[in-house]
Amino acid sequence: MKKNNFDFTIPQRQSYVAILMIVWKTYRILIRQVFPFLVIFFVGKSAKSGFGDYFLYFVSAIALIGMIYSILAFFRYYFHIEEDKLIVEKGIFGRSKTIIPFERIQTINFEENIAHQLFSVLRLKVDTAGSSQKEFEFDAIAKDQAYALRELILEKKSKLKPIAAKGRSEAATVEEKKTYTSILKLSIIDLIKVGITENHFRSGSLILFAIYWMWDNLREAGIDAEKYTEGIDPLAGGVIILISLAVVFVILSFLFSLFRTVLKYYGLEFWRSDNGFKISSGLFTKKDVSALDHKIQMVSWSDNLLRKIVGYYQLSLKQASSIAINNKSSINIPGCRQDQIDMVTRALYGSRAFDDIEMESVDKRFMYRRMVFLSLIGIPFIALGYFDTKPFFIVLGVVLMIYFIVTSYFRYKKCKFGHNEKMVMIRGGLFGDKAETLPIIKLQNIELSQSPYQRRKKLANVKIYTAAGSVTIPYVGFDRAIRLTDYLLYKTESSNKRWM
Amino acid sequence: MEFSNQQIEESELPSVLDIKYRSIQKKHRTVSIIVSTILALILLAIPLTINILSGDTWFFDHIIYIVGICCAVYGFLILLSFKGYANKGYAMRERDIIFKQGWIWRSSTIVPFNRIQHTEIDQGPIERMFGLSKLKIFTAGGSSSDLKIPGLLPDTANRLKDYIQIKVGRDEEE
Repeated sequence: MKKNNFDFTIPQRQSYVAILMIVWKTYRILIRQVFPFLVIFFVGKSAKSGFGDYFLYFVSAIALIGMIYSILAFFRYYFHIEEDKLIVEKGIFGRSKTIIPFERIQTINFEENIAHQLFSVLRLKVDTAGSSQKEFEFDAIAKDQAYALRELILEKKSKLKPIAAKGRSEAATVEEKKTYTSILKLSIIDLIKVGITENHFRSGSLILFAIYWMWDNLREAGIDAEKYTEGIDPLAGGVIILISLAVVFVILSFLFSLFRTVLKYYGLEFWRSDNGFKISSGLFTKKDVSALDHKIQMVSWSDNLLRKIVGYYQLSLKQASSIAINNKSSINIPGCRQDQIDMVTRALYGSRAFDDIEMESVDKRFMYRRMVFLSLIGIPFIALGYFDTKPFFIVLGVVLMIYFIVTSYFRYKKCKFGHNEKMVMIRGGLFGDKAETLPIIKLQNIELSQSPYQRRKKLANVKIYTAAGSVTIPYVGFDRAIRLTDYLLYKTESSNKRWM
Repeated sequence: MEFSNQQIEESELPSVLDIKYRSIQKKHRTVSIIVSTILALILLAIPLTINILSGDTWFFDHIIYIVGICCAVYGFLILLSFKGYANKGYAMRERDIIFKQGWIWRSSTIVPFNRIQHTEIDQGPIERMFGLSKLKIFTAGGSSSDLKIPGLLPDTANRLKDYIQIKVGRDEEE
């Protein structure tokens, strides 16, 4: 037996490789903090000889302290197992002792980046139950040791009696050692298809943001980027340059999103276990994320215009997490087909979960209001173009207005909601479609709100909060909103099923 | 074993429309007026200090506008204190607690007892002077959705908290 090779009852350190990881982590934080100063130092005018020397000493001192700190942190970090508790001791000056009973451990996830792969170690993340307790991680543990540790914890955990089984089965959280059936595996071709059909607008805006940020930093550092663009007459040569810039920009966005997709989803595989889902992907940093059925609060899927052509959806399983609600704790799978989505919802909610849901439209005024308010954005452009006699701005303003009017129409047409006895479904989208589904009992609280306009027209917004984010149904007739609220509350309050 | 499973018509469900809200303590209005005053003074003090420190006369040159803007903001805050107080209200039902608020944009939030994680009673320094407490009710729905009922007498807040505790405990037993 492998696990007999390791005695976890003796306090021990992580693999020595962890020093590297901790140093890397510390430096990354440090560099992020002092980056603007570094830029100033290397390229700025302020690098006068005397100041520069001091600055160099300062940086070296910080680097040295960071190094020593990391090494000390490593040597002062012990973990061991005592009966059925995992105990972690750490702290350079003050010692802190963290005790994690096995039954609190929800999932154990592994992660490896290139350095990990090189030294055959793993980063081990332990996610614990409870809202206030934070999760913790080991930076690097030898691979076989990590597997042995996980096996040991899960084995001991499964032997533990579930603490006062109240509706939820604690034993069910032992998710390893179960059979995994593969739901989806993305091949390289799938991956490229997913990359091509990405939302390029988003990549574009990321690039724009990065450029802006760099520009800003350079300017702060005393480099005048504007002097390179001074010679260009903004109107005459401007149009050609603008168009070519736009073309370059589009190509860049496209390549960037393709690159990002491959990086993030390379070798993606998505499994179903007995009581949860697991996904693993990543080119350099391989990442494993698991989600247990009872932790999943919402399931949503969406596509866009391009994805519609290839028939792909992006599926996301949003789970409640002990840390603040964020994207990290939800499983995102691009390149899902309809039948795979059906498989997932069938596994989670049963085979006819969405039957007899009658989708209802929201009030037409949702569209009118959006049209009026959003197209107001175009007016300053038109005014500017009119008074400055620049036809370009007038065209831009009109295009903006038409865009907002058309999109408001689409938004309204796609915005629908409905429910049956168990599930709530909300549809939306702009050019693509989006569906969000959640079991009614996952509701945490519900908010009815009205603007003065909505009060006059007897309309209301219904916002449903869950432990993994919220969904809003806008512009529902007031009576309908009340009926919906009453029904959802009745279902939630009369059921003794756990939301987690 | 007692078991019933009658069909329930949607129209027979208890409705949030029928709720009679209880208003909060009137002293809460005074508290929010004082808070608004402090806020307005701080707003005024920031440009003033910057000006004095930098030796600029900008502040005094534009004193009319600045005072005007401050008065407008202050007036609005005072109005908000009055209207906000009038529109705040809470209610308890057998299985949930409801809090409504807002003057221009109105909202009411309903938290079922079987979703409450924990409750807290909070008292700011000014609230303490007026003998008021704030009841905070936390769910797993995230900080933006937590209920905060201000302007309660400490006694009321405690009773509400105890009541909720009993309700939450009963739900866990079931």
